[in-house]
Amino acid sequence: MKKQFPIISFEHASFQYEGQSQESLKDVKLIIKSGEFLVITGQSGCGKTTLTRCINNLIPRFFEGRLSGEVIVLGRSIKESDAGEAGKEIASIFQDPRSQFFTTNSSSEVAFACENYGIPHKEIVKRVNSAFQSLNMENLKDRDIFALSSGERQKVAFLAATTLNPQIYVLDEPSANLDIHTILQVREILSALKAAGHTIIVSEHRLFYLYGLADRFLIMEDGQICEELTGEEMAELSAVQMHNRRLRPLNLDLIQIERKESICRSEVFLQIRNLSFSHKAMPELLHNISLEAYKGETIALIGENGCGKTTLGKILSGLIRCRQGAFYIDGKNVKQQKLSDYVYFVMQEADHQLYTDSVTEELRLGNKRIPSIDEKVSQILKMLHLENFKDCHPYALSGGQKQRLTIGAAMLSEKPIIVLDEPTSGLDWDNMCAVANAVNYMREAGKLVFIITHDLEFISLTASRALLLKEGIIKDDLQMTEQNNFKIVKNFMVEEGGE
Amino acid sequence: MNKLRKHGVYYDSRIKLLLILLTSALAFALGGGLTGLLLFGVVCLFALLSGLWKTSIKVAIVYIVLLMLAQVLPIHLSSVITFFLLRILTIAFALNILFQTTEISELIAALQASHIPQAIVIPVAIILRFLPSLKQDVLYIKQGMKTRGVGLSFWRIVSHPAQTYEGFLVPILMRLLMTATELSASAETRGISYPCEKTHYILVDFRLRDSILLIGMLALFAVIIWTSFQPISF
Repeated sequence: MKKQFPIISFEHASFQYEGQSQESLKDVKLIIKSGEFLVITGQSGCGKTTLTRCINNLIPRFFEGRLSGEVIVLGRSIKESDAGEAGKEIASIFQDPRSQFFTTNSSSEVAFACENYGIPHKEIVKRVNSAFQSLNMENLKDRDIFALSSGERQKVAFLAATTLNPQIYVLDEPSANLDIHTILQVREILSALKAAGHTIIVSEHRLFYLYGLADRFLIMEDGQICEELTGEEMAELSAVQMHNRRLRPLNLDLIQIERKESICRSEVFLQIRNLSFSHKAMPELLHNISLEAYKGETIALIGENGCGKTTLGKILSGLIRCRQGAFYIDGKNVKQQKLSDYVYFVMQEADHQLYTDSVTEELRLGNKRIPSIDEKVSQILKMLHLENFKDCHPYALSGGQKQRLTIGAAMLSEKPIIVLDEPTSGLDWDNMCAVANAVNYMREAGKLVFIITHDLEFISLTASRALLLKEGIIKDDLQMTEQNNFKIVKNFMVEEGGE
Repeated sequence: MNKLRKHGVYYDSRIKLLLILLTSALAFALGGGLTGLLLFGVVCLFALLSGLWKTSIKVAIVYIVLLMLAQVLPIHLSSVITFFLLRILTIAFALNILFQTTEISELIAALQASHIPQAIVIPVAIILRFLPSLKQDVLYIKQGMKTRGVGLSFWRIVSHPAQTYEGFLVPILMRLLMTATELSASAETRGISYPCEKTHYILVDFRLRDSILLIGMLALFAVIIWTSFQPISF
């Protein structure tokens, strides 16, 4: 057993962001020992990200505000240090693998921190090479960042963090955009870092990959640590006990499908024949896909990061042009680019889909001709718990609220087919349930819903059918009314989904 | 390093920057006609040198079509083409060479090696980093508007100009703001503003080949400037 000594301590620490009316951290007392693996969880807005920002010293210089009490990291008060100074010993990895890259080439990115801290050229080259080697990711060397999948980018972020061999790793929702298979690879990396004696702090909603790895879990609420559990204590909680704490499951085996009445299929509503697609000057992404779908179904499109799920969804919605394939709706042949008249696409990033200056206007946009629109708008606002925000500017909402708003717009749309692209990525338990209810509402209203997702729990709550995508074809087409089929889906996501 | 470098000749990114500066200055300072055509020719030459075959051919075709249109269209339209479009096209083409063939870290290293102050180097690097993200955001917002039934059709832009403008610009600005915050937080934790002598992963040195290329480029520009002062016109 290694000797453990305190490496980070919060002494009655409170923090209030500039321009905010409430404290994001309230009187936090916490001691983290060296070599410890700590997970901080809780609902969105509970203060867990703020806690990580104290540890990596982004607070109080980069994110300004009022800090009271004391936070000591590696023997120094964060009031007297800054993120640059601390960065030599503390590596940070963030949620969005897209916006944490400074350069455009994977090798340069891995070298970036070394360059900034003035490590000699020869030593940088050595460290970059050994980083790619030691984590067995030489296929990611010297690649264009914009051509990598989100999973690959997050792996590069890990490599970039290791080159300075820091004592502490701080991760803020690193799994939000990743498929399950890649998340389990991230688990392997974390496990190796833990074995090497590093202190690791993870702020996270999705907990399954930390099962058996984390020493301690902190559950936060409203800026305070409200419960503290060891890894073993956490593992003993039942699914119900986790949900009472409004947490995502720690063990994927506990997820079961909600038995839904099997859909009575009438006539085929959507038919796709022989769809093939490749991006400009790239190998074929989708190969000869044919598909029949019925109203009242929720079909989950499942496959690894970068397998073409989103592309298929956008082709189906008439947003990306596809020359090969025939499309029939209600038995009538429809030109591919006219599909946008029948299919509504909800984007992964809510920010790409909010265009007006109030929540109510946002729901009315493009729907003004629908009879009794105002009643429907207020009904949807109530269902999505947004009625108190109806006059807010959409960009003043939190991430989960924005996501629900874009789904609200889809619910109002009169288009019979709805495609949702990873609607629950980065959402906590409550928000995920709200989105699941909205999806079930649309299905029950007789729409045909497609969900593109990596979220097993969300699938268990909503999907009536699953299509497993791999190497450009639909490998399996399963009805989600039987536990056994659900198990097949789970195994596919855990094992085969990867490269 | 870069897939394009395999096809074309690798040369120092400072030459590409100088090409942009000279082209932008001369495109509007000098006359059009033969001088403009020569200027375009020089940029095209460097694009081919960098291995940008397809782009060069495409841009050249656009240039020639515009040039021919200018001959047949009425004077007020043709002057827009010759005084504005052709010159902008030439400058954009020169910029495109830099964007398509240069790594950010390579450009930073080259600029720092020439003792350009950090206050200029970092913004240039960030612009280079932001453009691909911005391009992606624009595409996604366009797709989002289409699915909402408020697509950027000609009719819609004409009938609701303010609404279209707002609907498009607000999300782009919000995305930029968010990306900028996240990107700088990430760069900050990795020591971008740590006060010490910076080192480099990619070493850049101005080699003999670069010097010859530079002299060749300056000579070509000298010829262009000379022709613009000649009384002959085509």
